[in-house]
Amino acid sequence: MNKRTTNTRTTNKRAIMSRRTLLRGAIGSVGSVSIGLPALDIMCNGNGTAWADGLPFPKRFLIYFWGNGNEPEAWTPAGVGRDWVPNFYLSSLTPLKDKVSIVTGTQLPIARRYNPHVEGAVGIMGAANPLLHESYKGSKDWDFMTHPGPTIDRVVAASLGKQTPFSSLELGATPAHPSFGPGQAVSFPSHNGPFSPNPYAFKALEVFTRLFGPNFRDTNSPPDPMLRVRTSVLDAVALDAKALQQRLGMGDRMRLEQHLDGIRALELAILRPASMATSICAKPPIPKGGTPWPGEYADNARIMGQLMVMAVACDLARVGTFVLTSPASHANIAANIFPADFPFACNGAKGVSFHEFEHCSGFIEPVRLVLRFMIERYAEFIGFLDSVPEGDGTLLDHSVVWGTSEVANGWNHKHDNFPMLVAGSAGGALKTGLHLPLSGDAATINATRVPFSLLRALGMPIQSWGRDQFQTSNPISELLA
Amino acid sequence: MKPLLLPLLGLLLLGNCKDDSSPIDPGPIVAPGRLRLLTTEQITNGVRDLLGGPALKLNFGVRTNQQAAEAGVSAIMAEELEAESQKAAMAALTDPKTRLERVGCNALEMPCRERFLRSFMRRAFRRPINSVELNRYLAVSETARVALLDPWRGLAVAVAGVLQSPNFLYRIAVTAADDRVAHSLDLATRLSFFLWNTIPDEQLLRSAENGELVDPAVFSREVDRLTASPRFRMGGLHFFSDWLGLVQIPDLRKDRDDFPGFTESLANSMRTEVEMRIGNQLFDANGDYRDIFIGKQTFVNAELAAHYGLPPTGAAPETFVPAVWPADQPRSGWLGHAGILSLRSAGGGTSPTLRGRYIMSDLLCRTIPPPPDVTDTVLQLVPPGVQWSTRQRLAEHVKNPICRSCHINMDPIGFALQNFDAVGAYRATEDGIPIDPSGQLDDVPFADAAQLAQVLRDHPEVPGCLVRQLFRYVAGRLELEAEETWLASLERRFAMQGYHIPALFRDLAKDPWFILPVIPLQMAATQ
Repeated sequence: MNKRTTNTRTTNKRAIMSRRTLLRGAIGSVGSVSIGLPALDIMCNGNGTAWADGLPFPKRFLIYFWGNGNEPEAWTPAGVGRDWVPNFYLSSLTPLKDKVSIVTGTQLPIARRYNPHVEGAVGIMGAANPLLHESYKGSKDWDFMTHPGPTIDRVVAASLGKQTPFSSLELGATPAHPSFGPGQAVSFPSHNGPFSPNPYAFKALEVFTRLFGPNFRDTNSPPDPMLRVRTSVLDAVALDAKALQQRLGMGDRMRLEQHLDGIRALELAILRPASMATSICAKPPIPKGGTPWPGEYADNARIMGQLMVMAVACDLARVGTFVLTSPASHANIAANIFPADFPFACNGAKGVSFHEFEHCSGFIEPVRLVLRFMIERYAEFIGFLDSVPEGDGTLLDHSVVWGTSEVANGWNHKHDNFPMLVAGSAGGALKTGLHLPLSGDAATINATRVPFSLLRALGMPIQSWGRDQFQTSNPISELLA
Repeated sequence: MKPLLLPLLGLLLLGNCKDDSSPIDPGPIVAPGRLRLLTTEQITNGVRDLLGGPALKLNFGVRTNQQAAEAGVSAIMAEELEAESQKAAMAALTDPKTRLERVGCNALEMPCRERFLRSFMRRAFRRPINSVELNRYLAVSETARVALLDPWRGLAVAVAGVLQSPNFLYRIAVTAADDRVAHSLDLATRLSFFLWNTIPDEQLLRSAENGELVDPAVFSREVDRLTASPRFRMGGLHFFSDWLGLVQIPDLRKDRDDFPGFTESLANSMRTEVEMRIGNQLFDANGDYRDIFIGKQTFVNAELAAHYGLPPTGAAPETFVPAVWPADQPRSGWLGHAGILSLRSAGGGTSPTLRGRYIMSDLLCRTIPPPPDVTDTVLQLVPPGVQWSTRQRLAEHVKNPICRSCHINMDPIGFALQNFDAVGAYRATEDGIPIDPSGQLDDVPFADAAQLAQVLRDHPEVPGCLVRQLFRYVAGRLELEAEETWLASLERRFAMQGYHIPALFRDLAKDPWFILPVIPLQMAATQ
């Protein structure tokens, strides 16, 4: 990292500029006004530990996903326990150092039979080996792989998601890597089961309309006869689906069951007003529409991140996956970071996908800046959550935000020392502010111990997580409070 | 059961007892499962046919037929459908100026509402409706009429429900042919989506309800009628769009500093150009498929004309007119289109690897194995003060034996297109270095992209790959080993009839493989 001092300066200046732009809340952004309104005491139970109706603040589970991992040798901070020292990659976490734990030394035990990004995505999100479509015949394996079962967000949503209009929310900042074949694990981290992806939305205006458009009502909204009418339509559709299910085989019945799940969730969304139990819920301003262009991705990550945080604040959802870039990171995210005249080492290949850029360059400085950018976005996101007061603490305190990826090292597809960031304590169930290096045998360093620990912290009544070599029933005790 | 189908069914259903003396080889037996989701375009087209009016806007449906064979309705798609179908139905059925004409009677009267819903549901579900189903949506309509104090809106609400029903959203295949009517209805739906990419029209539906469509003469007549209809052009084009990813072109995002002229509007025009050329050459003019790879005749509007360096033409800037690509450029045929060249490029630069893979894998149907699990993929750095061409920079790909095993099949072909940048604009040099577009494909040398186009035009694997891709489109999956012989015979027939696309669609539709009921993939694989 010593060669290009001049460029570093240019780059940093550009990065600072974009952060300043960000603070201005430009381009029709959600702006800072809607985040961080003070909670009125009258809405709480008097001692700030629960909602006014006496229920404790709910736990939230959010995944912050980016593609292509990090640089395993360099991201590991010096110091263990509370004494970890933010480094080049982790410096953006400094303001929230006490609320983030970092687990290093884990290994995701993928089978290494097929595309390592997709094996990694299925491994980290579903703790399983991918299923390969039976018609696969040797080309483009990434287009044929799917998840054998539900991903962790859907497992949590099955219980935490019952109370909210959206059982889980899948939002993102950049277009998904397109898939053409039957398998879409390369495009969408969240899946309900085989060939059942939950596509993420990344166009701000559409997401705004979905969350805060006609369906958004708070407890003060006037009665609307159309709501009952709409649920009666969905009831009829559900009856149609159930009648059809009787005539189908198991696999097709499952496909319709997922459709039915969507219909039930929609009925909830229509009938249940947004929670005003805390005053932190406010309808954000309308963002601009359209597919973002390279160069707008940082802005979009901020706007979409704020939309997700506000959806959580309004109790529209308690579970979500935020996809900064889809597995393998094919979005041209570098366009955010480098000025137009940046002398790229890789084929002069400005504007290639970050995936290709890293492959043909290795860990040169521009690649490192992009990798750091990913963690900066994570830091920004948890910052938004932390700026929303809830009771005695903040929304972040009652959440878990798991920051991770599908590979540890995107350059050579290593799955050792996986990126594992855990922010928030899930209402005191997790210890935070720690660096926990794992070492030992394969079972001890199994990366799925981290998500399993989170499942425990969230109170999920399961004894183990994962299948095959991913399976674990051993949470990281140092992480659990 | 009509005579033609009986022996075939015997062969099919009895599985192992093969009769080699049978005059007709039943060939492959197919289908991914009983349910197949309509693709986004099929839903949009169906709603257009049912309601008229503005198109649905769906972002979260499935786009390719191979995905439709496996996918379900995700939660976000269910949400989107609810909002969009409501909008479309309200727009179509509540406007006082048009509602009477669209509904065909006065919705203030109960018999009218019932009659309209019955006929609407029949067309949407592509089959007769039973009373339970009718009453289900009639009840919705009545509840809504009372709640909203408006029978027209009540009807629209019920219609929105029909459009969200799995009976509309899924094709439900029959797996046995013992019921003439069920088999006929299944055939009507499959045929209509294959040839028109939308729901059956009244005539096709009626012949299915009568159980006539399994009659080979009737079926054959319907295939001919559908392929003679103007709708066939749209349906046929969709195959090309699905196979070649044309639907992705408007979503392309290029580096704005390098390509300030690349706008969403230009991307849309690029897609239109490709579709107009295919439509004109392969459907309207019924040309030889192979000729799509060569020739300079195309269609441009003002922004595309500027992009290609042609003089502006057309009555209005957006009007497409016939045009000829500049004679002094090696731009020729399929691989000369800016949309295709942009699609197989990165956001800021060309990718000979992506373009080469596209030719080998998509146009020639060759297997390019996935990248090996290598530890070092870094290309050699360009020495300071030296300018390297892309060919020089990617040299490592074909020098290093690990890279070479695959890249040798992609990069050298992709280099032929280096005269066209990441948005398909012509250039003679790259960063001041003259471009060397020469190479060879299967030992046939070419000097530039135009010669490569001719090599592909005459390549013996090109027609067979097209047949294979059409099969994948219809079946919603890749072909099985056991289907290779039959595919080869389909290819021979394609060659014998002179490589005409409409004839190929007709031939495939009339093949026993298409006519026989579909059975699940696992069963097919073991037959």
